[in-house]
Amino acid sequence: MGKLFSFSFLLQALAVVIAVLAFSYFDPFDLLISNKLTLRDTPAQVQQIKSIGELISAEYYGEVISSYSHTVKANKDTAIAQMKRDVMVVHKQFYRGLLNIINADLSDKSDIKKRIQSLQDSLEHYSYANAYLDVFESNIGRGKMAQQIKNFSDDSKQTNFFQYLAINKVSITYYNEVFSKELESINKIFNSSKIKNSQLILVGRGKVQAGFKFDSLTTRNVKVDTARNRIVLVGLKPQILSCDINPWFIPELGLKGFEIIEFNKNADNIDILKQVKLNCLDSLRNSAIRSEILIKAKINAEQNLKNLFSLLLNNKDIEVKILADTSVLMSVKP
Amino acid sequence: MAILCSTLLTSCQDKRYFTVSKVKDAAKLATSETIIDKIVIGNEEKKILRIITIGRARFVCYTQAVVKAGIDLKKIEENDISIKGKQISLHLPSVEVINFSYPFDKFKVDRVLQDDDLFAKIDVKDMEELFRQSEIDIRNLLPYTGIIEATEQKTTQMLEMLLRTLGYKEIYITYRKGPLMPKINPKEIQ
Repeated sequence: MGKLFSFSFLLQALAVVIAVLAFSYFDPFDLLISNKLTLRDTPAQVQQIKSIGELISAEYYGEVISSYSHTVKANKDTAIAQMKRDVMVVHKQFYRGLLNIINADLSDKSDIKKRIQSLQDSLEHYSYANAYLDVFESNIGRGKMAQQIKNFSDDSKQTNFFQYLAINKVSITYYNEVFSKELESINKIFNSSKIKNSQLILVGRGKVQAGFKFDSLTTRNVKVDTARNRIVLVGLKPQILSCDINPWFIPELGLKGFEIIEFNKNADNIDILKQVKLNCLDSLRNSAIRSEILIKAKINAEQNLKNLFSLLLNNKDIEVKILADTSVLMSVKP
Repeated sequence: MAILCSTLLTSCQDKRYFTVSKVKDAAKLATSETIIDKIVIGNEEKKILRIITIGRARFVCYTQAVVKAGIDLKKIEENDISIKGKQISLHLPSVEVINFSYPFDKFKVDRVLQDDDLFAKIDVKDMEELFRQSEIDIRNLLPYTGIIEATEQKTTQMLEMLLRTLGYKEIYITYRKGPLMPKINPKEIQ
């Protein structure tokens, strides 16, 4: 009886402990568990203060939304485009190598050998060269390339073989074959279940500034034409000077820069967060460029500098012109 | 009662803002760039009934902020400039932060010191919260980093070169006093 009592007591105690732990772990009402996140006081250290010269003449404030799915799609598109370019480079290199062998002096075996070696060496540093050679070998028979090349000068049929490859541009089919093979492997990577099941949605609010850099500006770039009431700044091109989404957008208003809308366990990782943030930043920059920030930066700068120079020279009729082309330096009279 | 409830609920709603995606005119001259390093160390503690600690997590990240400072040329008024022949005196607007950048691509997480356990984990939302707190720390420390003096000096050098090109022989430049950027009270924005 005593044993039974202690056994049932233990079971009940165990059930209570499990219930408390489970409740603590999930804590559906946020009652039991308190979460305290603290930032330690660490000093902010000034690394350096350096001189710059920038005139910001246009600012774009914008809001963008991005997600891990968007980022993966963008990364996949970039990877495919890069692979396409790389395979084309190998393809062209290979084709050039073949033509080089065909143009060899058939009586000079050492020259032919050199050219064959040069073809192989030239492919060494390229990505996808191995995949390309694999396709080449699978078309002529594995291990046959060396043999074919070796017999190149001995057998007229072999000569024809290389000429056939080069003249009929047979290697374009190799390009297509390598491309579809690599495309398949890229699809495999980006369609993995881990990537598919990860989600993080982020809103980003930030600022893009555009204008002119004066770092390398000298007196040579400033032409004061007093006779025509004109100041010409030469060799200056409008450019994007900064594109930022910070943790805070407007801190004094409590408006966040990055705001995580949703994320799941698979995406709870700083590397994924960084990728999505980068995608947000790209979108913000593109939005600013689409809004013609660079054109407006030039127009605003000319107007604002006109106002400044009018004050500095006490001359309201002064005109300011900004020219990107340095060749004008010669034609603008000081 | 219903009116009271609805009033309370309305007053508790989040503040809503809107961002205008538009290019704005500006005329800001940035003459200094300051690079500031800060190590973000965040701790999270989970407690049952606010007494018994059941889990601790740690997050360590090396971060860097880039601050561009200068003056707003639009704030220069006619009264701020006095010209007497080849002599010019400028009373320029106060130095201000032209751009504050806390770029996430320069954040480096120390994975050796990072520590999560079964009950406590610093997730991506917590990381963002730590970065926000860290940004406030950096912003509030800016006036004490010597940026104002350095920027005044660099702006003077740049304008002197320009004014000499315009033909002035005697140049006097002074600056108004003003805040580098709005002071932020972390408690007000929580």
